[in-house]
Amino acid sequence: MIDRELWGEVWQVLKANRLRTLLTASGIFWGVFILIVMLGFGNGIQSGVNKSMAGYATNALYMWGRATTRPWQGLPPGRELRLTNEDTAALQSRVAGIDTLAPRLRLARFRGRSDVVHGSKVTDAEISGDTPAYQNVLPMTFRHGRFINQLDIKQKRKVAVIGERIHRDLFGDDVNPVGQQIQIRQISFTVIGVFQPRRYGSNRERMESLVITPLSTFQQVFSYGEEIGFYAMIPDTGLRSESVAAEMRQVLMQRHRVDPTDYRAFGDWNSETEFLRIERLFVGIRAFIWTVGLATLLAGVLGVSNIMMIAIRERRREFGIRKSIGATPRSVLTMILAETTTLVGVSGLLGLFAGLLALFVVDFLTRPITKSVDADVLFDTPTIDLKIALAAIVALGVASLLATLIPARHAMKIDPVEALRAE
Amino acid sequence: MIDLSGISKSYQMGQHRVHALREINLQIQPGEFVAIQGSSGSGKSTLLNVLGILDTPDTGSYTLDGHAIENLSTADAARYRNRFIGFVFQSFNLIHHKSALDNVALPLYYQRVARKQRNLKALEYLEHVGLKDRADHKPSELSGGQSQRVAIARALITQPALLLADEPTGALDTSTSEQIMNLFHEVNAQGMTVVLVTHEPDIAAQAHRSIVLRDGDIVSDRTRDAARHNISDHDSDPVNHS
Repeated sequence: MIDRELWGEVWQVLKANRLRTLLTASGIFWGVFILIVMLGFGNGIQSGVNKSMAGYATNALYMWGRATTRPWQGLPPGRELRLTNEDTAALQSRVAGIDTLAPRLRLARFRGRSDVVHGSKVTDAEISGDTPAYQNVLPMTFRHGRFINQLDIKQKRKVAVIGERIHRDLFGDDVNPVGQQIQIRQISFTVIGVFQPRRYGSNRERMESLVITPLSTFQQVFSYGEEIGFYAMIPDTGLRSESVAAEMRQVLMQRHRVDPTDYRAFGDWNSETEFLRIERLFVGIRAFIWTVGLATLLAGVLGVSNIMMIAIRERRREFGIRKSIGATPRSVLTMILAETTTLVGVSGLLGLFAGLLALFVVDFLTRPITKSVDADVLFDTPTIDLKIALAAIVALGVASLLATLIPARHAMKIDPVEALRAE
Repeated sequence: MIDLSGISKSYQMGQHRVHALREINLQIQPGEFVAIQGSSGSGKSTLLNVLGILDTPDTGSYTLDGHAIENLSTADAARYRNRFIGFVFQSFNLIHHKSALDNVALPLYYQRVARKQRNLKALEYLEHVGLKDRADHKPSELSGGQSQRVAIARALITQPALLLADEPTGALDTSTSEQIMNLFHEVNAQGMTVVLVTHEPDIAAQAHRSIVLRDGDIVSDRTRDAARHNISDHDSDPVNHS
């Protein structure tokens, strides 16, 4: 049905109406181009954000004790709440839905540092007391040695896992420090491992500067007794961390005799909420992109239909002539549809290629930033699902054909007598 | 060649019904050169459209070259037009975005002749009408006479049995008209049946047979015996009234 001869005719017509062809084509071109570029950017931003969040448990919840704000059972407000090992045991036995409960302690205030000594070298580090469970909260790999294990906890061993910068500053990068001694507040710890988080993200400097000791050892040697600083908790899969947190709060309130409505007595921070917020943001961005992209495409389709309608009216006489010298109605219809297909197909594909090229250029220019190790830009290589892109173009073609069918059927029925009479 | 019997055609014009053709009976033999005359509204264009299978009559039968022309599908009508009939119009009706060559070749496109062959043939026909050197020109770059000669080449390229011309010289000056008429005489001399509609008596006078229409009726049908090419002083000499 569609042969070389027909393309010859189509090409002649499109060439003869250069301006009209260009205007129609540019409508389609921009529609596809914008859709591709926007989808690419959407994907780029999403994978950038995903990359920056990779390496964190995305549903972790942190909870710590603060002070009561209301009187309860004869106790005054303003009472400091300190978490203890007994709380840990109670939470683990009474709250269902906890996958990981990691009790933690820090030597100084939030983000505070202490000196760490090895021989004549001194550096500063964030010192924490942790249990093996912490590995679930912060996934990590080991350049040397291992993480804290249950035996370390049980025997209150004076051992430490150190971050990369501590390793570099105290021992030098190419020295295996396992078995060496470091001193924290004049207490000696044996290095058992050098860790590296699965991904550093924006906290690289802090992560590199951690020294992790067994919680039990920490409590003993730094005189914390039974105290716990805060909990890092990961719920069982399928559960919202917030709902598990509500149960934890209930248990803790009961144990510490806190008014059940005193929500400020225990603080919490929830990465899942953040994560969900970002997820929702992406759903929004995606919907926006598709709405704008499809609206642009629809405008292109309407443009095609409109221009074909005008073109067909303008060419009434031509169709009349063609019919008088032997064009069948079907061949007229075929020719018009072939013109539309060519126009939409070629400009759509050009738009696709231009869009891909634009994304490639963007990727090429941003690569130095997005691909560096400690990149903290929320953007990564913009990608396109080619299947989706091609499907969009095919849908566009079909829509254009349908939109052209109405004026084309009209052209098919042109009465040559009528068409040739006018002048 | 052509056999019309009892052809009627009427149009609805507002409140009135206009009878463009009333019970027309007409036979045209192969190789005839017939002029159809009449004032505007006499039905001559309608008759031409019926002959050209562009219009279908309300009643009556039409036989063209032994083929009954009735109840044709639009596609079949298109095929008959392409195969049997060549059209020449007053306003040339060339396709403006096509070169002279492509215009002439177009009927062969609808016969599915390959481009190379049809261009070769089109060039041959352009040469025949003396416009080989204008093959690449667009209609807008041709004079009226040249345009009409291109249109004639287009009408002839399918070697139709019947050449239908609607006021072919209506838009041309006298000397150009003469060239065009000479072309008609030439193809008629080679045996092609020519039917031309005109309201100009001196053009009609060049035909072998002259039919006058008035209000949809044939009021006169005269055949002259004079040599077809030599018409100068004998035009008012009707013979053999049928």
